[in-house]
Parts: sequence; C-alpha cells; structure tokens
Amino acid sequence: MVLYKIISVLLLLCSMAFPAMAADQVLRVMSHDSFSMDAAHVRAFEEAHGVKVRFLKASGTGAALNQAILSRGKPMADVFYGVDNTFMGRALEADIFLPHASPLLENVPDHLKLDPSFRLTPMAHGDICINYDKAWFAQKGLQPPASLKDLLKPEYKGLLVVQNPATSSPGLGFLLATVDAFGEDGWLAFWEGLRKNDVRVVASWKEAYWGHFTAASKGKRPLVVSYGASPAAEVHFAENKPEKSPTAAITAKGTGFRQVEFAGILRGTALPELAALWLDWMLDKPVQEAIPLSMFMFPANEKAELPEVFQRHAVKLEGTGGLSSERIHAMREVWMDSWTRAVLR
Amino acid sequence: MDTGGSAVRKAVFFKGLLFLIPALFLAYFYFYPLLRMAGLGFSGIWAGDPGLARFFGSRDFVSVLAFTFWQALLSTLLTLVFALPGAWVWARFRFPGRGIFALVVSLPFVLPAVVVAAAFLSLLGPSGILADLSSFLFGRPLYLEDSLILVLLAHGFFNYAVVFRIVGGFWARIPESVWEAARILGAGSFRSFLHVALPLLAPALLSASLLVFLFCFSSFGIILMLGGPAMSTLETEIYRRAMHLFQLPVATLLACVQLILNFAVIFVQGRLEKRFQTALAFSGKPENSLSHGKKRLPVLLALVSGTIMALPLSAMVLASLRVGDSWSLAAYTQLFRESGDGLFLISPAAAMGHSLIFALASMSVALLTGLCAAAFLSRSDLRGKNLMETFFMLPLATSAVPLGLGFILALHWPIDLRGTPLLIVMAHSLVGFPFVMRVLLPAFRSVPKNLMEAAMTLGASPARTWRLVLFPLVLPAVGAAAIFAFTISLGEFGASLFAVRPELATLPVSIYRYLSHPGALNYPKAMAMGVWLMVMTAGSFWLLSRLMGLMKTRSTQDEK
Repeated sequence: MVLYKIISVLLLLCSMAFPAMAADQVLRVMSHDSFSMDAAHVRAFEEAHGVKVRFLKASGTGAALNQAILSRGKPMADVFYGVDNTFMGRALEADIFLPHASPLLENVPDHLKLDPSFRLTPMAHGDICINYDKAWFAQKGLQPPASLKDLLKPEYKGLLVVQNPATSSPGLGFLLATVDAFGEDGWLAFWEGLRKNDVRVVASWKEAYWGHFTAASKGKRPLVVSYGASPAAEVHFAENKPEKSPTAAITAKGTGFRQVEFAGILRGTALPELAALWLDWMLDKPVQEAIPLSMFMFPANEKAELPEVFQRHAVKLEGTGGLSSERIHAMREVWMDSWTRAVLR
Repeated sequence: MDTGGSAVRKAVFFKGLLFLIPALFLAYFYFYPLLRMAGLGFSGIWAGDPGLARFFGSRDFVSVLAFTFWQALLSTLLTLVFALPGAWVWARFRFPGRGIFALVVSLPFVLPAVVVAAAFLSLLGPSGILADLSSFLFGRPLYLEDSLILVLLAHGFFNYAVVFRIVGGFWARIPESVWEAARILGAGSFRSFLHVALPLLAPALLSASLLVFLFCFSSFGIILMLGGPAMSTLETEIYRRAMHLFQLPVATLLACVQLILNFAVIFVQGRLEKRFQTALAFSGKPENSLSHGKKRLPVLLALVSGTIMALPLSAMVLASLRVGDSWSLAAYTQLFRESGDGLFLISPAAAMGHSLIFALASMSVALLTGLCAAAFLSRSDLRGKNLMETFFMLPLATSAVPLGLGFILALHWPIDLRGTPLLIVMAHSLVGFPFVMRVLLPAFRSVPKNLMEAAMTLGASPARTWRLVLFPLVLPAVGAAAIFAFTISLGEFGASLFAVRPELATLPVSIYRYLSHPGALNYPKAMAMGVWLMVMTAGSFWLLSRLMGLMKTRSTQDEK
C-alpha cells in the first residue's frame, strides 16, 4: 500500500510539474545558446497563426547542430536556426533539412545564398575579426596590428586572446581566417609563432570577451577575436551612450572570416507548412530589422534597415576569404586536430 | 484466509515487482540510450572512421588517460590529507560548533560545479580576493588560473564530505575501550594511530578513497572551468569529441574505457563497504565515546579545517554583495524583482521554483526506485547479486554526454519525451538513484531477517510486513536518502548541455547564464543565486539532522 501511496503522490507531482499538456499546435524551434529574439515578435507570430512557439536551446553552434543530426528522421523540433557556413557541409551531408525556396530570398544578396538546394536559408551574417581596446593602445602609444602577421611581432606579445576552435564558433572562424591568409602550408607555422608570442586560448567567446578583454572586463588582453559588430554592442549596452565606441575592429583584407547563419526546416516534422511560414517570417523586414540588436549580426535581407548604432559603429571586412564550404567541410576535423596539437599540447 | 500457495505466489510477485521497478527504470532511461549511442559509435568504427587512427594512433590517447589517472590520484591523496584530521576531530571529540562544522564541510558536495568553480575564482582567480589582498600587501597580484593546483584544491573541497562522512562515521563508532586498551598497553598517540586506528579504519579509508577517486576520475565541470582548454581528461575529451567535434566513434571508445574502469572501482568499493559495515556490528552507540574538548589540538584542527572549507563559500557571499566598487544588497533585491523576458532569460525566482519542483519530483522517483532496489538486493539470495548491485550503481559516475546524446537518439519511443520536463526529472533521478540505494542498503541489511519471517509466518502479507515491520525500522535511512536525492537534484547541471527549454531553466542553469552575461549586476546576481542554493541545501541538511534526532528520541523512548 505504501507503494501505491508513493505512486499516487508521484503522479500528483508530475501533474503539477506539467501544467496543461498544451492542446494547441506547438511549433518547436531549436537553436544554439546565442540565439535571441524579441518576445513581442514571437507573441505576434503566435497570434497571427494560432500556434504556440516553443524554443529548445543547446550549448554552442556545433553542439546544437550535432544534436539535430542525432535526432535525424525523428526531429525534436520543426525548425532549426543557427547552422553557419563552417558547419553547413555537415548539415547538408547529413541531409536533415527540407528544401524551401522562400520568396523573400530575392531580397538576399547572392554571396549569402550558399546552398543552391535551398535546404538552408540565410538569415544573418557577421564578420569574425580581431577587436582592440582603443584606450589601451592610445595609452601605450602603440599602433594596433594592421595584419595577422603583425601579431607575431614582439610588441604584441601576450596581448591576444582567442577561442578554442573545437568549442567555439568564432574560434573556428578565426582558424579558417588564418588558413585562408597563410595557405594550407603556412597557417600552422603562424599559430606556432602565435603560441611563442604568448597567445591565450579560452573555451568560449564569452570567456574571452567578458573575462580577458581589457575593454570589457578586468582582464589583461587588449586584443580579442570577436565580431565586426562588437563595437556597436559596446555603445548600445553602455549606460551613457558614448559618441565613439571604446573598441574597434581590424577589418583589413585577409584578417577575418565572414560567418553566415542559416535556418532550415527539419526533415520529419509534422508541420512543414507552418515551419516554412516561420522561415519566411524570420526573413521578413520586421524580424530582420531586430536581428542586429538581438544577436549583433547583420540581417540577410538587404531591405532591412539597420538601427542607427549599427550604422555608425558596426563594421564589415574589406574583402572576404576564398575558402569554400566544401573545402571547410572536408578539412575541418584535420585542421582542428593539427591546431590542437600545435597550440594546446 | 489465503491458502499457503497463494501467499507464496504473492510473495514472489512482490519480490518480482521490487526488482522490476528499478530494473525497468534503469533499462529504459539508462542502458537503452547508452546502448543506442554505443551502436552508432561502433558502426562508425566498423566503417573505419579516419578520426580513430588520428586519435588512438597518436600519443594523445595515452597522455589523456595518464593525466586522468594522475590528477584523480593526486586529488584523492589531497582530499585524504585534508579531510582526515577533520574526520578524527569530529568522530572523537565534543566541542562547541561541532554540528555547524559538520554542516559546513558537507555542503560543498552537493553544490553544482559551476558554483564551486565560481567560488574558487572569486577567491583565488585573477580578480579574486587573494589577488586584491596580495597586490595591496606586496604590490603584486598573486592568483591562479587554468592550473592543476586550482583543480586539485576544488576536488579536495568538493570531496571532503565523502571522506568525512564515511571515515568519520566509522571512526565515531569504534568504542572507547579500544583506545583505552592501546593506551594501557603503552602505545603513544602516534603508535596507537598507526597500529590500532589505521588497521581498524583501513576498509573505510579505502572505500572512501575509491569513491573520491571515482568522482575525480570522472569530474567534468571543475576540470572544464578551472583547468583551461589545454587540460584534458577522459571526461572532458568525451565531451569535446562527442558534443563539438561529433567524432562519435572516438567518443564511444573513450566512454567504454571509462565505463569499464568505473565498473571495476564501484564493484571493489561495494564489496569493501559491505565488509566494514559488518565489522561495525560490534560497535556501541557513537555519542558515548566522545571525549570533551580538554585538548587544544582538536579544537584548533577543527577551526583550521572548517575555516579553509568556509573560505570559498564566504568568498561567494562577499562577491554577491559587491556591485562594481561598492557594497550593496542590490543583487538580492533584484532577484525577486526582475522578470526576464520569459523566453530566454527567466527570473531567478522562477528558476528557484523550477528547481524545487524538479527536485521534489526526482526525489520521489529516485526514492521509489532506490527503495525497491535496496529492498530487493538486501533480501535476495540470487547468485551474482554483487554484480547486479554494481550495475545498479553504475549511473553514479557515468559521463553525462553519451547519456544525454543517447536520450536524444533513443527516447522518442513509445512517446516522445525529448524536450519535456519529464526528461529532466528522469535525468536527475538517475543521478540520485545510486545515492539513495547506497544509503538504504545498509539499513535494510541490518534488519534481522527472522523478524520479517516471523511476521510472515504469523500470516501478514508481504505488503503488511513491509508497512508494519520493515518500514518503521528503515524510516530514518529513507529520510536521509530523500534529502540526499533532493539536494543532488537541486545542484544538477549536466542536463543543461542538451537541447532543453530555456523557459524551464533551473537555478544552477540560471547561475551559469547570469555568469556569462555582461552587466555590472549579473555577476553578483549569479553569486547571490549561488548563496540561495547553498541556503536551500543547508536548510535540507538541517531538516535531515532534525529528522534523525526525532527518530533517535522516538526509538529510545520505545526502548524504555
């Protein structure tokens, strides 16, 4: 009888823990940790289509995609947001997305439409590059580095913090920038040089930026791998909106990597039409215009107007690299293993 | 009146149920996901994955394995050196604040690794208290980051309670007459320790050491957060390979190596524990042998030990009160005011509510399954019982990553549980289950078998025997197990690595989110939530001690 009592208490607890096993249709959107969106926008979509939107988040860009691939055929969600061009080869090879040629793609520039099969819809892009602390360099009377090669000079010893490419997508983007800049024969030598010049490696962007970057923490490194939009974020989040950003990004040709983020409809979903509506809606002007300040990336839709702080303080690279996503897909693991051995072991 | 045959059938049915409940629970939520995951990994191995040769062919594998052993061994030794004096003082002497001392040193074990790591960094990190103090005193900041020393210290801090509870608990029950005999025979305190205490304590010591070794061997959060990206143990390598690099074949092989080693350690530890629990049979009441604090050394030892253990905890409290460059309670007042956006960042108060609900639900599941398992194992005459016990204990130290990925791969059948709160409850219960079983087994074993048989012969049904004979006897242990499972769920963090609903975040997950968000108030807020978690845990422990006290007075009254 004790058993029955325990079981009934258990059932009671369960019913408390799961209020209303939701009678309405639920659209499930899976993404990575950095995904964010205006709650008001989500409510508007819910009301317009009479559905409930539920989000699922799983650590980093790579980890989230891997979980989506693991659930191939029996997806945990209907839409996935956050495949980037460093991982798109893996996503396409695993074939976890349904094609959807959104009519809004006509407002997206061609260089972002990297998937001719329309399984991945471009949503946003941002340039991974080195940011520096303006005040720090002014105070030392030092010029910030002008190229990646400059980072090997003794005056920049111990100044740079980067992310581990195995656990962080800006880290992986920066690794690809070095492969692009120095060629497949020269990039490892560059990293060996960086290691001698006391480069600091941390696991994630947050740790690097908010834990070590002098302009954003009590840290000791005035150079950090971040995004071209980060200076705009510095102004946006500052309490007394300064005229100029305390940080700047290095945008010379051959110093960074353009990251493109895609979304797609997960194969096996019970709601493919609704999922397609969600993609179109995300690619439309209202949501696209909110992307800069919710995720600090540039919108893919050219018709979307940038907020003022973005127009003034966010920058793009002067020329992007020539690594194809096929080449990246073929070599990514080999490069990461070589990098780990050269820089960490 | 039942016939004899139906009574036997009923007993068999009851025993079967006792086995089936935990067995089905483990089979579906533990072995099935793991096997599915292993299947995927091995099919990659079969297909000749090129990553395998790159990893196992290089020196990487050997160095990872060697380092994992090495740091676990060092951590275990450090924990022993650190915790034994505390265990001795607590076991043998009465001194003011003995209860608080036991509480302070036990708390860290159930704190989530995120909180322990943050506490250590706010004490010893680059912008921690030590750095501030040393730059004030010597004009030069002293600090630790990404270092083995930091990891070892945190492991010692974390596992102090294991040694303290197991060895201290055993020590307290060795009767005073043993020490008196040694003294009369002319043994000094050192010699009596070496020749009398040590041999007596050996099984408990070994058992505690093995457990600490197991926890350090599979430690995850502390290595990841305090060791830096270059530090690599089996557990963190499984995480990086499986979660980020998606090299499932490599991760699967590593997980197999780890599982086999865990199995061996748990098996040996279980046998050892059974041995010293039977050895305890001779013991008297623990409290009788306590000497009053006449000596200064024990009090001093307790003070030093307790202070060291309290340092990281107080560093956390200080950090929660420090906003920018001034002192303020803002972090605490904000905890209940802030609403978050309800979608991606929920309010701390809501997180607290989720934590409580999940903890209550998973406590119930862990208790039900653990109770059945312990009852079954203590009554069973089956051969291979020890092996079965080891199987039941396996979730104790299984890597969260293969299991979590296995959930995603497997648990959509027969109904899709992925992304539901039930899965979080089950994941928490899996971690709590072995602890519940560990606490209950000795209690069940100490119930004399003939007592149950007598009740049955007198015509009581199995359920009635349980309710009227067995249950009252093991009730204190059940209370202890419940609180253990509850606090373990409160501190559980690993589930957040996987696709989870951000609006259902628990307290440890929120702490992690706030820790990695910019803004002057977010760090103190994360620390304030850590303090809350600590208070909730300490509250549960206090409740536990009251409960045990109540049981004790009731049972002594019964004796009279």
